This record gives sequence, C-alpha cells and structure tokens, in this order.
Amino acid sequence: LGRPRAAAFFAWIGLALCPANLAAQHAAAPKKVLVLYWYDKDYPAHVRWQESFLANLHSGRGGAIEYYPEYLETNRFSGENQLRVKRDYLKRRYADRRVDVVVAVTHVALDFLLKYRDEIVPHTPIVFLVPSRYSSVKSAIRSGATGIVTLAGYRRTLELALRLHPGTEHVFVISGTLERDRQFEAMAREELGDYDKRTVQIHYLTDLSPDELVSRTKNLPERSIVLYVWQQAYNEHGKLLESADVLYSITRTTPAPIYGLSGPRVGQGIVGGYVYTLESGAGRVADIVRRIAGGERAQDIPVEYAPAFPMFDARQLRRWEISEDSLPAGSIIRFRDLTIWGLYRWQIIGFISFCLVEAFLIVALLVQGARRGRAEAELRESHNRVQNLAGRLIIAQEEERKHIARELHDGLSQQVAALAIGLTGLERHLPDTNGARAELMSLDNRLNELSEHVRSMSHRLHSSTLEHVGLADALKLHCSELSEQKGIAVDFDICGNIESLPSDTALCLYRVAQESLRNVVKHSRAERANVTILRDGDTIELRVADRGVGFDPSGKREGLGLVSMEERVRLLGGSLKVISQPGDGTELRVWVPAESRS
Amino acid sequence: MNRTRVLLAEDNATMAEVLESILELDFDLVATVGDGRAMVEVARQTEPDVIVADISMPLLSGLEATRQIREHGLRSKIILLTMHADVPLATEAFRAGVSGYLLKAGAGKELIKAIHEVQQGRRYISPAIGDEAVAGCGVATSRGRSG
Repeated sequence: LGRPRAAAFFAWIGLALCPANLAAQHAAAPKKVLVLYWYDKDYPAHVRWQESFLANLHSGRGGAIEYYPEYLETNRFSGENQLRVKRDYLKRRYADRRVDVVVAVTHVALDFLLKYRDEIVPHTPIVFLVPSRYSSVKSAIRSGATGIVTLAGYRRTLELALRLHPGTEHVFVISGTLERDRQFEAMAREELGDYDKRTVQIHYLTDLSPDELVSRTKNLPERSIVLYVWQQAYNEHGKLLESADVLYSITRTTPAPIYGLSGPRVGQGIVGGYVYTLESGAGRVADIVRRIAGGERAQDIPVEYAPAFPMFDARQLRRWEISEDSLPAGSIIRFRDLTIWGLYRWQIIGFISFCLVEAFLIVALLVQGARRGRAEAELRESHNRVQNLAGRLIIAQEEERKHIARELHDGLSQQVAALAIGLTGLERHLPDTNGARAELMSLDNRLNELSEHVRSMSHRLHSSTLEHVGLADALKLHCSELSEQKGIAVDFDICGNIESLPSDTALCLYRVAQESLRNVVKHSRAERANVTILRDGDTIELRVADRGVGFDPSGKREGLGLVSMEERVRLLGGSLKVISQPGDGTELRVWVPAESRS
Repeated sequence: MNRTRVLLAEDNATMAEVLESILELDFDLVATVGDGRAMVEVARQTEPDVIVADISMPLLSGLEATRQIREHGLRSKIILLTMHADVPLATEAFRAGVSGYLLKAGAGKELIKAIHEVQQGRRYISPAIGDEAVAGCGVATSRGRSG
C-alpha cells in the first residue's frame, strides 16, 4: 500500500527541486499594475481608456502584467471624507499584495495618490495622465512620478475660432467644477491672459448654475463665440449634471457657435477645437508602465507631452457655413453624413466593374459579330459572283456551240452538199469510160459520208431540232438516237402540255436530259432508262431514271456534269435533286418554272 | 407543153449556184432568192409551179415561209431542202404543207425526180430520212416515199 505513495512523494520532491522549474516560476511571476480612475467603472471615457490601455499593455514584449483597476467614484462620493474612506479600503485591500506600478488617471487621482500613496502602496512608482497647467504636476515629478501631460488647447482653439468667425468681438469661457475651485478658469486665464483686449473681450462664466448659464448664453451679444471648457453642477433637485449635460442645456438656446477642448464634446453641440481625449494617452501610459515593470526607474523616464489635435463636427461646420478647406491640416472631421458612396463604396465599385466588364464583352461581341457579318456578306458576294460567272459561262458555252454548229451547218456542210450535187451533175454528163462512173459513185458516197459526219457533229453541238420542232420532239428524237447508237432502251413519256415553253427553259431541260442520259450510259450499266416530263401547273418536272448500279450522292462528285446541270437549273430559278443509293438505281429530278423568270 | 416554173430560195451562194445549174437544164427558173421573206414576196408575185427552198434561211425559215404562202392561198408545190435528217422536223414540214422533203446531200440525184413527183400531186421524202424513221422512235408521220 505504501509504495505508490512513496513514489509519488519523491517524484514531487524531484519536480520541486528542479532548477529549470524554479526559473520558469520566477520568469512567469507577473508584475502588478494598479490603475486608479477618477470616476466610476461605467464612465464612458474610462471604458475607452481601459480598452486602449490594456491593448497596449499586453501587446509588447516582456513578462505578464496583472491589472487591478480601482475607482475613486468622486462623481458619486465626493468630499475629503469619502477619499479617506477610499484610502482605508485600498490600504487594507493591498496590504499583503505588492504592487509594482500605480497609475493615476486625471489630476484628481494624482492628487489622491500624492496624498495617500505611501499608506496604500508604499514606494510604488506613480505614472500619471493629467492635463497641463495643473499645479500638482510639478510636485508629482519632484516626488519621482512620471507620465503624460495633455496640453490644453485654449489659445490655439480660440485663435482658430476667431479665424473661422472673423469680426468676433466677445468670447465667453464656460467652466466650473463641483469644488468651485476655479481651476479651469485659472488655466484659461493663464493661457489667454495676454490676449489683445483691443480685438476681443473675454468673459468668464465660471461656476454658474445651469439655469443661470442658460439665461446668460441665451442673450449673448452679436459677434460672440463660446469656449466651453468644463462645467459640472447640481441641478435644483440635487442631481449631478455632468459636463455633457450642461453643454446640452446651452446648445439648444445659445445663438453663438460653441468651441470646446474635450474630444468627447465633439458631437454634443460644439463646432470643434483643439481637443484632448483621455484615451489618446492611454497607449503611451501603458508603454511607460511596461518599462517600469521591466526594471526601469520612474524618475529616469521623462515626462511626455500629448498635444491637443483639431477635431470638428461636420454638422456644426455646415450649420455655421464653415468650409472644410479653411480648417487646419490634419483635422479630424466626425459625423459626416454618410454618402451613398461612403456606404456602398465596394458594392458600387463591384457593380461598376461588373458593368464595365459586361460592356466590354458586349462591345467585343458586337465587333466580332460585325466582322463576321462583313465576312459572311463578302462570302455571299463572292458566292454570287461565282454563280453569276458559272451562269454566264454556261450561256457563253451554249452560244459558242450554237455558233460553231451554225458554221458547220451553214458553211462546211453546205459546201460539201454543193460538192455532192455538183458531182451528181457531172456523173450525168460524163460517158462511162474506164470505170469513171464507178469512180464518181465512190467519190459521191464518200462525200455523203463526210456530209453526214459534219451534220451529226453540228447536231451534237447544238440541236437545231429543238428550235424547229420543240422540246418534246427533240427529246423523243434524242432518246431514239441513243437507243439506236448505245444499245440502251430509253423510254420517253410526256404528261401534260409542254408546248410553247420559253426557249431557255426548253434548252435547259434538253441539256439536263442529255447530260443525265450521258451519265446513265457511262456509269449506270443499266439496260433501260426512263425520261419523263410532267407539267404540274406552272412547274415542269423532268425525271431521268435508271435501274442501274446507283451511287452515294453524299460522296465526292467528280466531273462537271452534275455541277453544270445544277447551274443551268438554278439560272432558271428551279431546283434539282439526285436520288440514288449504291445498288438501287438513280433518279434525277428537276423542277423549273414553266414561265421564264424575266 | 410549158416548162415547169421553179422558184429557188437558198441563202448559201455556192449551194444556190449548184442548184441553179441543175434546175436550169430541165425547168424554167423564175428567180433565185436568199431569204424566207423574199421567197414569200416573189412567190406571191410570180406564182411558180414549184418552190425549192432551203429549210433554214435568214429572216424567215423555209418552214415558216411555207406556212405564210399557204395562208396566202398560193397553190405552188413546195420542196424543202434540209441538212437535217430529223423525222420530227420532216413531220412538221408536211403538216405545214410542203410536198417534198429532201436532204441536200442527195439533191443532185433526187431533186429533178422529186419535182416531177410533186408535180404529179404526190409527196416526196428522201430515202435516207425514211430509213432513219424506221430505225427511230417510231413516230408516225404522213410521209410517203415516192408517192
């Protein structure tokens, strides 16, 4: 039973004596900082100050620092007696706890510490944050304390106000404390005391009751401005009115612009001014605290000064028609009306970017579309030209054939015929000696053959039969010639009236039938073919069909036959279709208008 | 007996000369004209017994001239000379009112005979056309070989 307990005990001893563990414990021992606030915990300036102070306190390097806030609460419990109660309380509370640094927020806390520090936290260095011109600062520094002094902007604020309101004759300085000690007035007098009395008259409204203050400021002379410093008071019911409350009661009634020295007053009715804020010094106080916690001596750290900075209320600027351009450089302007731009800047930027991208895309598409349109138009134009050329080529070819055929027929053929007739005449007159007649007969026959040859050549080139006897008979003749010459039976049928077709229509159909039959003879290996012409209203249909080997119409076309047929038909505004498949014959169908187009 | 009066219509000069030389031996050659329209005019003026005409001529074809002459009521017999051995064309010619249809190449032998045939009121068609017609697509015609 005893063995595990013994083991645990020795392990504990070992851990406790381990030097590394001791060092770690020593390094981790946190420094303690006590911050003494002037008012209570919920005072807004304290809340902001604390936030800024703690953020800076824990952000730097160095060991951990424990934070002990305490509140004098002089707003609720004022008087020397109450301070002594607080002293006793703090004395007992920190009796067995060593505090490394104590911070005084405002001169009230500093006064308290200068008086009771040695009873509460003896010898602990003091760091303060107080306004300038405060009498106890010097004695505090002498006693070894250090800190930040915020420089009051009385003079700079007044100069600024006078510049913004030229022609001002009266300045009313409002201040007052619960103690009625006139300390603010004293500070103001010190800064403004030497102000040239010939330009403005400075009046001090110090420690007036709220009602008095309202009635005095309500009837200020023309060309007056108000410098609101600080004013606390009790109202008639004994309720404490804070500086902001008092300000509020006069802003509603006074006709003059009000300038101030405290940051939080911006937004509560003052135009602005060179102001200080409690929290602006909080970060710097935290820095000093960390240095002291790190081992530096307070008296070796010099006191820093925090200047007041220009801050304005945009609504008041508008009310007094003050241009932002006339304000000092680096001015902070609060309570600007949020513009639509300010509210929705990123959405607007996003939307506009989106629109721009969209617009760019649309323009790009339009440009591309236009380019394509032009290219298509050019292509169509080119296609039309080619078709036109093809049409003209066919007409030219037809004309040339006709011309050559006529030359052969009217020239050569006639000459040969004339020769044959002449020969016949000679034959009649010549006595038959030494077989001369037989010789002449032979010559005559050869001439006839030549004549026939020329005639058929002419006929093939351009059938005048078509012109003389019309389409039906010309085709009939062609079919019978083909049957005779090529050994393929070609049947020809007509359905409907195809008399008096325009000559170009008749020629087209004749040529297409001719070309198609040539293909039948050449490729189909068929023994029979059919040529049919039908009339259906204003349309003439030509069919040339065979039961031969067929072909694949979607395949590559060779030769000009089909192309020239299509072109002839197209010239007349007709259409052409080839129906075929391998092994299943071929049918060509052509539709053309019965009336000429032109 | 009066010699048969013949009008020749032929636009080809060589052919016209050869034909004239044949016709002059046996017939009274009224005139030789070179186009279809002149043929109609001269025929109306001279009223020949027989007109020998080329089928293809300027201004008016032989076929069309034949139709016009028939319209004018002239009774002249007409023989068309052709380079074409086309049966349909021959058919058309006989419908139009010709009496003879002659291939030019055979004219040396057949023309005199043909004129005599049509003078007798018969029709004449070149044997070459008849042969082709037999071998052709069998279109019926009103042709008769000689008579």
